Amino acid sequence: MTEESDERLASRAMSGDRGAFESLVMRHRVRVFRICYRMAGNTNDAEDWTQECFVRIWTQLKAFDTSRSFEPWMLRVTSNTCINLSKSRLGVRSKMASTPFEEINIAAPKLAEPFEQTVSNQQKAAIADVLTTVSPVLRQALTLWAVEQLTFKELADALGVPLSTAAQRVRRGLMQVRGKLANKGYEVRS
Amino acid sequence: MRCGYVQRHIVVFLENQMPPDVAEKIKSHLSWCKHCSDVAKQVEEVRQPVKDSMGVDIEPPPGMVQSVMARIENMDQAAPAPPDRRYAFIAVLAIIVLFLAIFVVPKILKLY
Ligand SMILES: [Zn+2]
Repeated sequence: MTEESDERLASRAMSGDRGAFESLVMRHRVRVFRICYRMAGNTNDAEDWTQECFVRIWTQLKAFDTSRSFEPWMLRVTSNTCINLSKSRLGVRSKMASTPFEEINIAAPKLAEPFEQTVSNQQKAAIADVLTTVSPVLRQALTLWAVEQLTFKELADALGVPLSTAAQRVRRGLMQVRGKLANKGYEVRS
Repeated sequence: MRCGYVQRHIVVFLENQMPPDVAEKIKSHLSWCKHCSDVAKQVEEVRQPVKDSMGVDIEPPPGMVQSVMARIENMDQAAPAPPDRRYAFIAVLAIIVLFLAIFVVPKILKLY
């Protein structure tokens, strides 16, 4: 049996088919959760945010153009929801029972990378820590670019901006990370 | 080629996603423009480390799909009336109240 496309499931979900939507949630829950985790900075919030993202995807489905790909649209709703949640959290920052980045298994660097490009665990933890303080719009661009490994064309599509704007946001995000690391006395260069 | 263009697209260039002819032009610009080559160097220092640090292999908790579907079901039950009709009702109500306030209430007040 061939798998039903995202777009087909989405159009069925648009006419109220919750089963079709459930299949979409099943299919994309890991990606959405990882984006939320990077945007939220801890697993507790990431769980709530993931639910919130899917609720928004469900309520905004009528705005989805079925002649286009579902994925960039879903990533856009997801990351915009995360931005809104980040902004609303700035006021009420709950630090209770959150899992710091350091306790999470972080994917190992690809073996093909040259030695000088690999990052120590300590550096990873420092970068992950600093990332939570990068402004939401830039963090959104960095997250989709790094976690989803999107090309800049795909990133622009997901953000709904021109390619040069998407690229600028990533560059500015990287420079913010660099500046914040320098302030903390880290040197990223190995 | 202008510095602004080079710097706007520097990450795209560093990730080898520029069309070859444009990439060639950026490359030659970087060979003589110190300002842009400094920017490129700074970006390059953090580009791969940040990418590596952001990769995660965590999974959502097991009940995630059910929680999402439960929320959606609750939401649909809580809001049975389609929003358009509800807004129309509020609008009509507002017009009636306004009408009463402007024409009827002053008359009643004058009578007493
Ligand atoms: Zn230049």
